[in-house]
Amino acid sequence: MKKWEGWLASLNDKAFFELYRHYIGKVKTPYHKQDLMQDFISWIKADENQQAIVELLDSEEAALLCLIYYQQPITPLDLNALMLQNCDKLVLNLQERLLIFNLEGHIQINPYLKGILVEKDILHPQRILNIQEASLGHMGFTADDNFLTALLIFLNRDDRVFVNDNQLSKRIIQDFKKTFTHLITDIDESMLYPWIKGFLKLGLLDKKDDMLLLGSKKDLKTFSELSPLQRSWNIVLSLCPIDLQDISIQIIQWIITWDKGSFTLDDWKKMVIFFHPNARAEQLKQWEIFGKNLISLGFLKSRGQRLFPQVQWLKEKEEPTVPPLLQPNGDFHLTPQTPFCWILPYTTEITGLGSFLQCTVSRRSFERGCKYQLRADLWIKSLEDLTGSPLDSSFATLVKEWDKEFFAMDIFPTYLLSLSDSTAGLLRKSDSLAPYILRELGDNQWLMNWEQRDLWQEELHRLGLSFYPPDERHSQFTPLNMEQQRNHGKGVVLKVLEPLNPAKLMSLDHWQDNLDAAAYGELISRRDRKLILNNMTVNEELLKGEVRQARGLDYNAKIRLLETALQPPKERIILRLPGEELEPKELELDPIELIKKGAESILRALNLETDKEEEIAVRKMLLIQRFPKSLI
Amino acid sequence: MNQAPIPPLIVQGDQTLLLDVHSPLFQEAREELSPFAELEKSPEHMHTYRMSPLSLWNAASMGMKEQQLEDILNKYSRYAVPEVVLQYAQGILSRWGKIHLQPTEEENVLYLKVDDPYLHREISAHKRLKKYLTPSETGFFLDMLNRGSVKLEMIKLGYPVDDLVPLRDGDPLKVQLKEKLFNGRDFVIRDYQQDALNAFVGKGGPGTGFGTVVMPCGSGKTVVGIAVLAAQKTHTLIITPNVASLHQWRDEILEKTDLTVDDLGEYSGDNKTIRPVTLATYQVLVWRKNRLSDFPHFRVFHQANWGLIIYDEVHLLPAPVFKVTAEIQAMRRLGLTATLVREDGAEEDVFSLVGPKRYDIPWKQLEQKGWIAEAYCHEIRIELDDDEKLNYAVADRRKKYRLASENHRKFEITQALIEKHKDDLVLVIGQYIDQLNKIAKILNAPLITGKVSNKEREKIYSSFKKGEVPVIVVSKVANFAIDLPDASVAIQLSGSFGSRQEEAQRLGRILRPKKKNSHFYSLVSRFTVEEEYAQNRQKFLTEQGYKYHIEIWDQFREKL
Repeated sequence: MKKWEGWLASLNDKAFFELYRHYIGKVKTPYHKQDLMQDFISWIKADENQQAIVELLDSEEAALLCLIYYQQPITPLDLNALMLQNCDKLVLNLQERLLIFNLEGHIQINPYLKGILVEKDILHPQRILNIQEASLGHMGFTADDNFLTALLIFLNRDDRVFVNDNQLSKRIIQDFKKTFTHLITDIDESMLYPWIKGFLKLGLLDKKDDMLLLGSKKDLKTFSELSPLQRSWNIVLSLCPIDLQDISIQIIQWIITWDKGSFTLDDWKKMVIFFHPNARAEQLKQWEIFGKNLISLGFLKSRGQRLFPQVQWLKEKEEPTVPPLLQPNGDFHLTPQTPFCWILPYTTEITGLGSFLQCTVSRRSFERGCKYQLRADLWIKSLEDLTGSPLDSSFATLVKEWDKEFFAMDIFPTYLLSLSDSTAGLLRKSDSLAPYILRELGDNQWLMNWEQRDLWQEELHRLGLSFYPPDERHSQFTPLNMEQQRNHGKGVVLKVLEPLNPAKLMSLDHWQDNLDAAAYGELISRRDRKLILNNMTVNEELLKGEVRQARGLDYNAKIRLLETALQPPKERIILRLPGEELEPKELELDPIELIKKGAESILRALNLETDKEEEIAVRKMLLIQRFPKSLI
Repeated sequence: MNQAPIPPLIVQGDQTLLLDVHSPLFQEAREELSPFAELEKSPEHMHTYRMSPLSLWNAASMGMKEQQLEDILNKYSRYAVPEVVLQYAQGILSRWGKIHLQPTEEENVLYLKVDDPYLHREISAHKRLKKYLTPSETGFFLDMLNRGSVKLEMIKLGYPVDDLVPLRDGDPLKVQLKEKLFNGRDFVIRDYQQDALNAFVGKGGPGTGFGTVVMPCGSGKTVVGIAVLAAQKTHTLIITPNVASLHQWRDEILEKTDLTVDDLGEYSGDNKTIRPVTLATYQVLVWRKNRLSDFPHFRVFHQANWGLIIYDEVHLLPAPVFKVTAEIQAMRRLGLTATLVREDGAEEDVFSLVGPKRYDIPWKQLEQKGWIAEAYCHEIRIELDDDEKLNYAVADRRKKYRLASENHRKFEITQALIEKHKDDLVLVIGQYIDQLNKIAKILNAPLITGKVSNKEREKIYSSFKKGEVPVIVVSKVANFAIDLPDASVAIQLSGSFGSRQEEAQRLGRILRPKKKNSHFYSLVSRFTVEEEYAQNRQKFLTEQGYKYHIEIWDQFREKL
């Protein structure tokens, strides 16, 4: 309260008395300024006045008030950046309407109005964004575990995936449409790009020239050990800018709390500003790209201008418990309750995709897995762990036969462990290292298991043989810490807000006969600026003396208005000038002087946007409005 | 409180229907699905059906409406039925009944009624149809002779013809099914055979009396044929793949009906007598002097006033017989087969010219009911010798297959298996005569090839049935219709590349119900192309739920 009162006290007399006369009425002489200030405070405290001020607010004004409220301290320049537009005029207007005030360069909410603004949900953060209650129901596909398994199976291909400039080949696009069309109704090949990019970032895929390979078994296995919800989170966040990951988590956690919310891409851009006011332009750009990727990915469903988050992707899910069903002919059936199966992408082909994922393992598809050093024993064991029952013995034999044939000749990555005579003895004596030895070559040299390098290296360390082997292929996949995520976004709860329907502006037709044209024009201008709250705020005297705008054809009125604005303390003006393509442009200026150049009157002023001086002929001005600079 | 069972059906967007075999509603759902969806695969846990245009038109021809189909899918579906599936089914079903084939006042002229003007225009402009049709305002006139050809072309165009031209009645035949068989036991038509009969005969009106019945080997297709013959009571032409099966038909007709030898004619290489019921072979029908001459024996189709033609093993119907079948669309036609799989993809021809599938039953279902023998399938893999491996490595693919098929180590396995099954009757089946000659000598067993006379064959079969000869070696001539009731073991040395129907037919040789379970051994050279072909060969049977136990010979030998 004190701050606002301090601001009121700091106003110069001209500005203060104008406000007083406008809202309260004639200043009775003799006066004491402190008493007048008390009058003002009493006026603003009155419920009916607060009600009248707040009733005229629209959604854009509410968004601005909201930003001011949450982004303390905030300068007018910050506000422009956050609103993605120049909003100086609106700021000035809200000041005139006593909703905000500018103290030492920082804009703040009038504390006397804060209560009613909060009560009426004007200051709810959601007002920053133009979120509308709208639901298209479950309109998109759900990127559940079956979809992830299917897409990885699909992308593990023998043919070229990319052609020139990393464009997807026609063949893969055709196949994608053919395979997934029964799952995704409005399928669009552009969605493959963000999915591939996401998988690459997570290490689930690897790109080699024009081909795609699956990531390491370790990465896929780690991915499979996450909960379905964690998998979905990892997918959605795989494409977010690295330095905005925390913000991304907060925002996505926020928007998925809305069951029926929708927003525009502009709102999406504002969200990051809301959570991260110091975001740089480059980050904003990346954020926008992230939003577009989420649209392609399918997480944000686009309908017209509005985006609908597919909240079911990130809803708490029941732990899937139904194992894949393997038939004796090699067909797998995966129900919607089947968890992600990391081994299937390596070794199967899709045969059907709908409520169930159907895939099959054939000799050819199994051999594809063999190329990843996926051996039959591991494959069988993994499946048995998954299904909890032994694999059909014939099928197991068949798979082992494929394995045996494929690995009849083998090139595989391994470590060559070479030890001195003394340390070699230690290794020979140790049973704990035996499982990791692939072959003993003699001369104290051993071929060691590549995949289990962490384990045997740890074992060597335990035996006192510490060393630092080169390990260029670190796991690429680092799952998100979900506990940390859950703590984000707390306290930001979206609610269904009453839409703002500003009260109707007062009809002032009957004043037309009582006022001269200039005063009536000023009255209408004040009404349009939402300064006229009731009959009290129609002050004839003030209107006559305080013309605040002049239009193009009335040259003399324009000169008079500019001269008034130039009188100390100077006022800020807004000019409307003819622009290109018949679009008038507006300039916000600090006037410096009026110059006579022949018959022409020229205004010299500082352009507040460019911070440069300009000279503008008065005759070109379509509209001039002046604002008390003291309020700024 | 009893919980409602989980619905057994999963409707996929690509028109496949997955049916959970373990659901208590399985049987009920299966019965409701089968009229409009074809069983595609029936392995152990989940059966796959597909709604194809043919299956949907088949249902439409039986009077099924869109709403009924939608209700059935919704009733059994575990998840919401995808909209796209209903739209697809609706689109296909709506095509049925748009085009009718009707009789005209002129005996040999038919009228193809097409009400839709756009479709009329499409048909008018169709290159291959043009030559058969004379346009009128709401349809086309056509010659009776082109009835089949037009139906076939229309199917290819995507529009089935509702054939409402009444079938011609043949000369009447007095025939009754017997109540007792020769051995004194009651002759009873089994429930599924009765279902097949009913499905074929229908209500007897237009649109019925032609079609195909699909039943496993050994399940009594011949009985269905005989039951249809007895129901239609008309002069009948029965066409079989070879003389052996012709004789089998003859014997069964004599045993199960009151027809006598005098009522039965044989139209084969040796004998060409036409009688009220005449049995012919595909072989004799497609015989001709040279490639340019006509098929003289097609005259058999017109030599009598047949009221019914039965095509045994209709999947083998040779292309020229399709042609003549197209001309005899006015007759009742029954196709019988165990595998409507044609490696030449001519299923559409069978549908259009013989008729739609009227009945189908999974093999395993009959096995469970005990109507066919329980069979164990084994694939035994054996490596090539080192010398053969070298020859194999440098051979082209065709030669590789031959080398792998003729792997001489298969002889030692055959001997060991016969030793294991010394109390059983064993068939050794193969593709290559040299290989068969060698194994016949090693086993001291009779060999039946195409060169062995019918008389000699029947003599061997007779000894085999009596158990005097426990092993016979047969070439591909024995793939079909050999009545070997007591064979319980078959050893397949080699086969015709990846032929699925050959594998199924060979298994069929040992499926007749008996006291013992049957064993089917397929010998395959390890690490060769033969493995791939073997896998393809087994597809049909694995899809029917048969499980192949794969054994590596060196380990399996120790178990014997």
